[in-house]
Amino acid sequence: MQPISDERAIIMQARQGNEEAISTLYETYLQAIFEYIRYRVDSTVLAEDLTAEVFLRMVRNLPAYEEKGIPFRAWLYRIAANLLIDHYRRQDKKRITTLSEDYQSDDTDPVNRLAEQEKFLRLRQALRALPPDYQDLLVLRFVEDMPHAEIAKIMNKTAMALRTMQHRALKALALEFEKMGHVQGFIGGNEP
Amino acid sequence: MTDEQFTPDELKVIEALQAPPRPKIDPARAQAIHQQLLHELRTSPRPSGRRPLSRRWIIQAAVGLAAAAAIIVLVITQGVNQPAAALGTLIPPPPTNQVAVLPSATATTGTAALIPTATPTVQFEPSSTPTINPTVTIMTLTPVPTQPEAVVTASAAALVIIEGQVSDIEGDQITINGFTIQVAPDHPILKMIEVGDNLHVEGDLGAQGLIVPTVISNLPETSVNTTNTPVTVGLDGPVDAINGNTVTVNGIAVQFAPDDPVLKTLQVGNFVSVQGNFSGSGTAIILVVVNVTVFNNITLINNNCWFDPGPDPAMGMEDPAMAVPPAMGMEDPGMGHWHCDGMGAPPPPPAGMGAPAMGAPPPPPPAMGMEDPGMGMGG
Repeated sequence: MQPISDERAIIMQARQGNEEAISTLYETYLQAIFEYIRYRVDSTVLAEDLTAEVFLRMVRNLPAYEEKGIPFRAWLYRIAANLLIDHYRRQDKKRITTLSEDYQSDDTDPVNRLAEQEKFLRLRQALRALPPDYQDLLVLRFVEDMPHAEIAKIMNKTAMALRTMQHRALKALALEFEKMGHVQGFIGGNEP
Repeated sequence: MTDEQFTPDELKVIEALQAPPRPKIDPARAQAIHQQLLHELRTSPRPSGRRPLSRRWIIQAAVGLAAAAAIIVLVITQGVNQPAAALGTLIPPPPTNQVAVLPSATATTGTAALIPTATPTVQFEPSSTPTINPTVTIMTLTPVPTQPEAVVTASAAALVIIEGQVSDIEGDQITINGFTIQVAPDHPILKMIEVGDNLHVEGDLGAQGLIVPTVISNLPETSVNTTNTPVTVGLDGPVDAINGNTVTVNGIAVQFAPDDPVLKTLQVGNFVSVQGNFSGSGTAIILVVVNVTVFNNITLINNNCWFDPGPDPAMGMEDPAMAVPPAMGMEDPGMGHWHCDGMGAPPPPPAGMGAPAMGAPPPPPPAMGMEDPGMGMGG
């Protein structure tokens, strides 16, 4: 997802309380923010609630937002990341043993939907075994397709540190897949 | 991603990440959130088309007020020390190197920043004795332009006050309203707060725009304090250890007075609600107790919910069925009380409950059937 054109002008209008501008920002970033959060939490309902909170905070804090070194999209993701940190702190990082089955899909075929759901849940199960930073990095980099420079602003790390972390994160995720039997002999390079 | 090199194994993982269909938000829920945003926009107060106050302006305003206050104090002090013959004459402002409160960063100010709108003035009544009666007359100060009007550079830190919600905690730095507060690495407050908590911070503006706190308070203005000693910090939790008059509560070192009678009956495992103030510096910061309430009949289940059985369990009134914390909102309002305030500790007793003064033993449990429904009815 790429930032919208004339985003700066829209942001300025949104800061003044322009409803249309705020709606534009909301519609532009809603799916991406929801996706990012959904990969990090166990239920769609929770992801929706946190997504709502992200945009509420966006509305409340927009007047004070100034693009000084952190672009708007990264600022929004940072709100989401902080909310996730807060959420897990409150939950005392409890691991919920049952996976949610409320995955939303556009596919009307129930068989396909079931297959999609299973795929997503297995990915989610593997991801959540990783440290939160690894999860954030992998989702932002390879699902949201963000550059390291922008992720660095969200995660408050240097791009160089992220590159190093990325290799470890990919390896860790591969190990999780292997444990789950998702991809047999993955680390060794053998095809399943 | 095109300039990155990945091993074949890494590429497979990346493919697995990107392969599944993306989760999509329910359209009805998306619409509901949209309406919620618009409602928030329409009902919350907005600035009237002006830019909101910038951090720079807030700092400058705080510096200006603090400088004015320091000048007044300095002039009054000088007036006391002036020989009698000098009284009745205009007292010039102090030399630059005696101004104690200046911004540490270069700031552009005019004379308006040095003299607030409601100009405070000081005047000394001519007298043969160098006494001051500040309630009688006051004198207007005119700043002597000993330094450039446009720029004020500082040699010391300036006082700032920040109050708001913690938005980030990174190591020993706490962010509130865009300001970064730098605390000592082992400051107990770091163990006590979470993102979203409200803090009141007073401190000095140090290098690189960091605020070095002199006061950190997590107590709201409405907190109960039954003594005349000001309190700034509230801590609730179980007693982990007792070492002389130093008690560890929820991992935080708390210092009682050596002769505090509470120490005679306090036990590891008791639940306490402590109010006090931080003292010390660096890594030796400790919470000095002003008020303490000890709760004896507490069953701690987890960090989010705890059950106060109310009357003495020996009376047979405890409810064993309540050993599991109820779902949120379903706390049993009857016999005994569940507290699920998310803080893992009882809230302080409401006003009028007669929270014990410092050192007094906790009140006995209420008689059966007479328990105070206001005792910690948290949700």
